[in-house]
Amino acid sequence: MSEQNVPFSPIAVVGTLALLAAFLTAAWSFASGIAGNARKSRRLVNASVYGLYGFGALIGLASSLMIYAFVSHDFSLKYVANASDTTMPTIYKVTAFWGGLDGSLLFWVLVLAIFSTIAIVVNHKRHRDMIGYVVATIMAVQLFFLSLLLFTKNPFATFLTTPPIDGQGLNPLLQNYWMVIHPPSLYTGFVAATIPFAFGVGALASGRLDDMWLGSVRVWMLICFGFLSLGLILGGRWAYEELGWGGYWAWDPVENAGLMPWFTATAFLHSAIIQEQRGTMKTWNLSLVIITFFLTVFGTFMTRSGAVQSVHAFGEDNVLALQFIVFMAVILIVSIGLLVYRSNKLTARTEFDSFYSREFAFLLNNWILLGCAFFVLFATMFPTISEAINGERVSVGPDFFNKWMTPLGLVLLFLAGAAPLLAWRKTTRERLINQFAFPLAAAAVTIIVLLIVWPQTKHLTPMFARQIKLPVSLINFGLVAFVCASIGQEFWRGLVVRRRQTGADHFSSLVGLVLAKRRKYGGYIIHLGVALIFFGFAGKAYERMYDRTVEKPGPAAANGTGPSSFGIGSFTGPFSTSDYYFSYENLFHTSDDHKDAITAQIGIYDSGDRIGTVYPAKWDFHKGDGQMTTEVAIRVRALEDVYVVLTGYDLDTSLANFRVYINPLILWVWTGFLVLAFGTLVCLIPQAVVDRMQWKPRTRLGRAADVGLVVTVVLALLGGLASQARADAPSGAAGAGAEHVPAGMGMGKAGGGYAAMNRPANETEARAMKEVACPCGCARQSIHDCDCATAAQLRAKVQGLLAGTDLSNDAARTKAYESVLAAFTSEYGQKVLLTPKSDVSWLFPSLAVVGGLGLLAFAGRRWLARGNKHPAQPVAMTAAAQALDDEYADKLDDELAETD
Amino acid sequence: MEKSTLYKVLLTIGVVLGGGGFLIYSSIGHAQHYRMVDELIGDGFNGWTDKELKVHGFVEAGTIVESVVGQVQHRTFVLQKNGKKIRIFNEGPKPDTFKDQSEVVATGRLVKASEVQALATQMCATKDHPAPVGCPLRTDAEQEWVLESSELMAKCPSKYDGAPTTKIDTSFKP
Repeated sequence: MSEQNVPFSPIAVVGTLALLAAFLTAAWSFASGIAGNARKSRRLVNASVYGLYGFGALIGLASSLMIYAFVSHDFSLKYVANASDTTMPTIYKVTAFWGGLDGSLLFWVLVLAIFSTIAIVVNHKRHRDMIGYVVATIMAVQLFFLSLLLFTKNPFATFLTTPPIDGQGLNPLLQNYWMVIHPPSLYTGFVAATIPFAFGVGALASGRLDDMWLGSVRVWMLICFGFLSLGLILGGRWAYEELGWGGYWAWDPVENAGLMPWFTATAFLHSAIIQEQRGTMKTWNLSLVIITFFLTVFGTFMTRSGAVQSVHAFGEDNVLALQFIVFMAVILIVSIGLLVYRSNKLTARTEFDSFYSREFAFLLNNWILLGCAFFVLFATMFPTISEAINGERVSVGPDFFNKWMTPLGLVLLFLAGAAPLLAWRKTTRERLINQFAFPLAAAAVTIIVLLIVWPQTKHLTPMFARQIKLPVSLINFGLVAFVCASIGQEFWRGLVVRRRQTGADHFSSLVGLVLAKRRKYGGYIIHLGVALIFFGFAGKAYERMYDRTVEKPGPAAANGTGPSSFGIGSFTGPFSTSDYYFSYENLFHTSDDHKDAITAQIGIYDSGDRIGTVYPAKWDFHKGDGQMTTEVAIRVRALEDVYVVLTGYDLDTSLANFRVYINPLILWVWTGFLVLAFGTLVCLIPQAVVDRMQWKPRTRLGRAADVGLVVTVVLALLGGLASQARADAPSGAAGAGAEHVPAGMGMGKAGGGYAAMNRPANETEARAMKEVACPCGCARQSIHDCDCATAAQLRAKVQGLLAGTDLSNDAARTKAYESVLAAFTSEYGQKVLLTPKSDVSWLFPSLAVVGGLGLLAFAGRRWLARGNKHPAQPVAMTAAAQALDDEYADKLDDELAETD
Repeated sequence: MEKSTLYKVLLTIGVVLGGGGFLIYSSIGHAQHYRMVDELIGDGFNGWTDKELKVHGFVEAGTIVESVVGQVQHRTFVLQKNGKKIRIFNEGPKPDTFKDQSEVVATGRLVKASEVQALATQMCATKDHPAPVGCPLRTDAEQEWVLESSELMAKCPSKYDGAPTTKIDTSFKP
């Protein structure tokens, strides 16, 4: 400590110096970049590029120091003290780096430094005459955020007097798996939008407005789109699992902040194709990169300034708000000024030929996406606008958003299916009929079947205004069928042509088709994902909510009825009818070093069959300052989720109050996202990877390396996604996200406390205890290893089940072991076992994605190799089929030649 | 300016203005008026009794009463700001961050206090257990109007907010 008793932290000193040095480096890089391109000085341009690399190194140093400060509990730093404590699991200490306002700004700067380094390394030779402007633009953005860090929100700020001996820790609601990955996903999406913006400004400043800059930024906008999609869906998933209101989207301003740039990024990805194909929409593309970047900054401004009221609002800071307003004004003035200055160079090479063209469909798509973005912006800022006009804050609720966004979304869904069917320039009438017949028929059949079998789908919903009502649900299902049929038809026709060209089997042809035209077919897969998401959205209209109170728990009859059970009547969703009963079987109170948990055990029955056991709970964290968290219990089914919340209880009488939601089709929202993510990954596969697949490794080592790489990637993805899927499954009393209490944390080691109670007396008991998962949510520990009271109770139960059984030989011991597991699974379900025997349905989505990627890699190589080995063997066809085939083959070849 | 360009500009302006006007028209009936508690009380409730309100304030400590009536979890509490208060009635699950002195926005409509007195009495009815803390409730004696809230929003835990630390290094000598 210093003589003045001000705490001295080397981390704080070095970290602040690193930020200062980075600021100076950024300023130098900014100036030299502009001067270099303006004067056509290669030396100055190179200096700016190296300055960018040096900047990245300095920010990397500062970020590493910050993470180290968290992990080493340097509470002399205010930021570390506010966001962590000594008992937090290490993963939350690391992620607390971006958890607070100050750290999130540093995280933004770090990610942008990484992205910009990669972008410049890849592109600086290709765009010598504008790379200086690109670097200068990036550095200008970095200078803004660094100025915030240095002058107002320094994460390395220390306490001026006595530092605390322990930090405040993170709010229990935020100590959750989804909250670890949701913010960085969104930040990464926001930051990725800076690269296209920088290249756009660079193109405008240099006058290099051909299509070259577009090729360099398309991938970055795809990354922006992918991460924004991930961040949005993770936020929705967190809300669904953690907040207990049965929904996943509430049109909250902070949610909207991530959605607005998603719309414009999507629009750019479509209009970029048009510029490449037809030389039009140049102004659109430049405007979209500017608007997307602006909206990312605007969204950040909204969440931090207090400009809008939101339960998510992270704080109110007028000084910060003013700084952001000035920055946004500079962005708009410079960008629009450059756009106007270069407007004469932005004329289109060609004109639109027909409304029945893919160009027009894309244009309409873009107008609607832009309209969606500005509608959401308008409705989100409604209170601020109304206050500015008449002094009164007036907001609009979710109903207003849904009234507008639903019909706009349905039009977008239609275009997602229709645009791929249209030809470039002009679609002839014959082609129009040929392309649209099957998808329209699929839509019509779907609508007719639904009208007959499930007439509730024709319920009318207001759109745009109360007076305009349409059967939204029916239209939605019809359009989903249309899109699926359209995409399926495109794949089928491409597959047929490819098979004839290569002579390969169906699967290899399909994989080869996708790999050869990744942008096109990856985009189709994304459209398919969107259709599935809309299928999930359609279920929202049928969700139901029930409140029930049960005086005391007790056993239920085999069909679920009984004095402690309650039913909700027959539930009819769009595709299912169920008769649910819920038996309230137990209410138990457990506690450990971190929290007290009140958990109800509910058996769920459908039409007399038990379909599962769930454990809705309330947790009271000791550090939560009297705040309880709601741990919902969700029984996931293909056509609906059964969502149970413990809303109230009385520990003395065991009275409990429950709220039950039946959420139809919600699984398809998450599934649709997985498909969308898969499609995005397909689009991102680099050409070099596809080229590599064509090389036959000459040595065994080479082949082994290839196989090993594929297996490693598949296993790593599988492990990552499977751990996510495992967290989804209600793991007993406390659901996902519970903290692990390591041995010795107040429970004593194995020799004391709950850990010492009911220890196994023989090998069979130990074996059974090691197979049963503790339901307290302690990171899937067995009851043999977990130190909590529940584990001790369940160990006693194992001992009770084995008491008096024959354990004299191996066969008897195995039989006794199996009987213990059977008893637990019949009471708690398969999920109580650490090694589930048959229920792997939770893994299906992950397996589908990962398996798809692995098979894609494997079959792609196989197809490419076979294509080289076996020339095409044309099959005799009829003249008419041959003509159609040739026409489609020509279309495919044209597109192959001109795109990607 | 060429005629075709002029037509495009005029058409665009027309679509934007028309669309914007229709957008504003369609918002009628969806407006939720946002008031702080002290602003609402200061207005004297006049003009607000038929509107949907979002009332923002802080939960007065010791006023939360929760009870199961029928099949539903009900709660009532007092929302206050700068000494001005209004009683809120709400049912169903509560936000996790809802507790004494938490910052809350309650969405709902004003109803006469006398209309909810029966519910308040039921909430405090004792059967086999003591009445909840905060009982008995005399809503009609407090104010003429209460807010029947369909939605409660409590401030989400912000990673940026920090509570005052109470842990001091006592070995540290000034």
